[in-house]
Amino acid sequence: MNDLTSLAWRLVRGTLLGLAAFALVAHGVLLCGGSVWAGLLPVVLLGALAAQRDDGVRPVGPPAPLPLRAGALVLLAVVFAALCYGALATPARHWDGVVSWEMKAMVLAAAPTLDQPFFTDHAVYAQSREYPLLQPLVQASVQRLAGAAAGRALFPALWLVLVALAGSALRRAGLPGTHAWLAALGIGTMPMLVSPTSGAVDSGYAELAILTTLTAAAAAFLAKDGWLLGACCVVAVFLKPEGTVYAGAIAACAWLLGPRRLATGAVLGTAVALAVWLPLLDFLRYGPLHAAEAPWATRLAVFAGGAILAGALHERVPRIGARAALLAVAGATAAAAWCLLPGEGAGALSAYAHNLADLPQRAARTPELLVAGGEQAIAVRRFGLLFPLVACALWGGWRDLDDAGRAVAVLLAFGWTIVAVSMLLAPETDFAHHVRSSLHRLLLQWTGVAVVCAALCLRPQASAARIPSP
Amino acid sequence: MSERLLHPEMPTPAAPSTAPGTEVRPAWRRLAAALVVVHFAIAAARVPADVIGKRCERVADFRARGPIRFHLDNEFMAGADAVEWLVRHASPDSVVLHRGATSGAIELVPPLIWPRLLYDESWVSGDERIPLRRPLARGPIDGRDAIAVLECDPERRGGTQALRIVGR
Repeated sequence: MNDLTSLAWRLVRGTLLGLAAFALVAHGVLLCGGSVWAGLLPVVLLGALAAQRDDGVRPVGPPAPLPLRAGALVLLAVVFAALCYGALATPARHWDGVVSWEMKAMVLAAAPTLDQPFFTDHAVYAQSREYPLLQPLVQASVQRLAGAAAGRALFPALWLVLVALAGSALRRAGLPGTHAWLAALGIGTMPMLVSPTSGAVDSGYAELAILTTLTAAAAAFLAKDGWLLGACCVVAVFLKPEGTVYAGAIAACAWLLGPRRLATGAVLGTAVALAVWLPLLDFLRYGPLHAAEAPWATRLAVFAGGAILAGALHERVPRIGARAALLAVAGATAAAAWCLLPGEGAGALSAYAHNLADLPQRAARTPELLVAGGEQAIAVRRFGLLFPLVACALWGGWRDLDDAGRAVAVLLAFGWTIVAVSMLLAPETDFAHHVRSSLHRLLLQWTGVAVVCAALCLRPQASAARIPSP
Repeated sequence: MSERLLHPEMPTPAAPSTAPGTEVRPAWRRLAAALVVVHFAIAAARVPADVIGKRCERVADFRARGPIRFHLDNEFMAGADAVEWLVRHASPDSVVLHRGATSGAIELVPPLIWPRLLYDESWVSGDERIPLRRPLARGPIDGRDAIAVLECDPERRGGTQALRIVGR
């Protein structure tokens, strides 16, 4: 069982690191006007997996009882079979999966370059043209190597990574086997993730990939793994527009509460990813001519300077209160910069950011948002009893959390805050409809972190062990 | 029972104030254990009908009706006939002009007609400019061979949004 935990951890860690490397190289190639080689994904993934070594960390605490392990395995196997069937039987059947994600995968499978009308000619209809391309690129790469159905095998494969990630990370963090198995089972059978609905594993949405990435970030905090945390920030930026905000939240959390290697990994990962992504975003928003004028070298210098400054300040400001104050100043500066930027700006994230100035007026929507949040918290058809459980666990177990556990809890708080603020900043005029159609999917993205957080709070104190360092 | 499931390894503390053998656990842990048990009962109960049953129904529906009817033939969207017309008459390398609403049913068209591209008609001035150096989608419309334009009604919440082919 120890070997199984170690093997699962190496597989998920290698997968995340490989995806981050693929994201950087593939988007860099696209930025330079090239075509992404179909073999790039397997080469990078296999390379990252081969580079994983046993770090000697072994689970402590008792294993889970055999009936629990057997029952969990059977249930997970049944769910996995259903997800495989749903993913492979047909193309995407749900809205965003069809119109956005799988459409781009088809375009990139036919020609893995941005030098084609779908991306360069704005008269060609392309829904959410400015969205990051990591998921379509991965799906297209597999599709070109093994066919369309194989491309959709990405989704059940990601679900496997998610389940293995939750279980192995908690087991390595010193929790009993029972907790690790229940956490893996909890995230693997989350109703909204496995029901045939929008945002589910086989819907083709990017919610699963973001959920896996955020769960991996929580695991990286537990393992004090700066490389993995940096990889999570990279992957988040290249997955969805809100991934940029999430990467910032991860970096802020690491800088605030983590040791230096975590802060360095997260800040550098975010900076490097943004240095590659933002020029590409300009290309997708405004076309090749504008992108050629974009001061990407200036941005790169700003990001590198910011990363160096963050590292230096992390050493010189040991008190968490002072760090929090600095973070608040940095956040307020960034928000002010967004508000003062000329023009409306195109793209999903800009549309939200430009409403920052209206936040005080939009705060009037808070009661309506709270009611909607409360409804989601008890929506057992989507989340089971996860939210009441997390509330109960945090209420009773917060004081017993160690530093890494508190970092995970703070990351979850950051995530829920971002979700709430993004609802208030939404550009849609029909607020009620927007909340009804989006809130549950944004909450789903953070369920992995919530599960990890609940498991940590429920750690039995009699056998609590310090989290081993890699 | 549920408490032991979560914490089988916990030593039973001495509890002088309670009867021998009675475990003392904080109330929040007992509540959490109960929530865990109910949560998994809900999750497991949903597997046969939701995870498997509904998924199989949707897949069977998709296969029976095909992707175009599955997405564009329902109470909210009526566009399957128009898109089937395009797939039947427009060559795979053609450009399909569109006008009208740019959200709702029209969003589903590009993946359903791929590799044909959907192109904003307002960017085409007259017939002299052929977008992307590709042929324009055309076919028999109202008894004559004409360039086809896909027209999309505005979205109306609760109403049906239609797509139709018109000649240019």
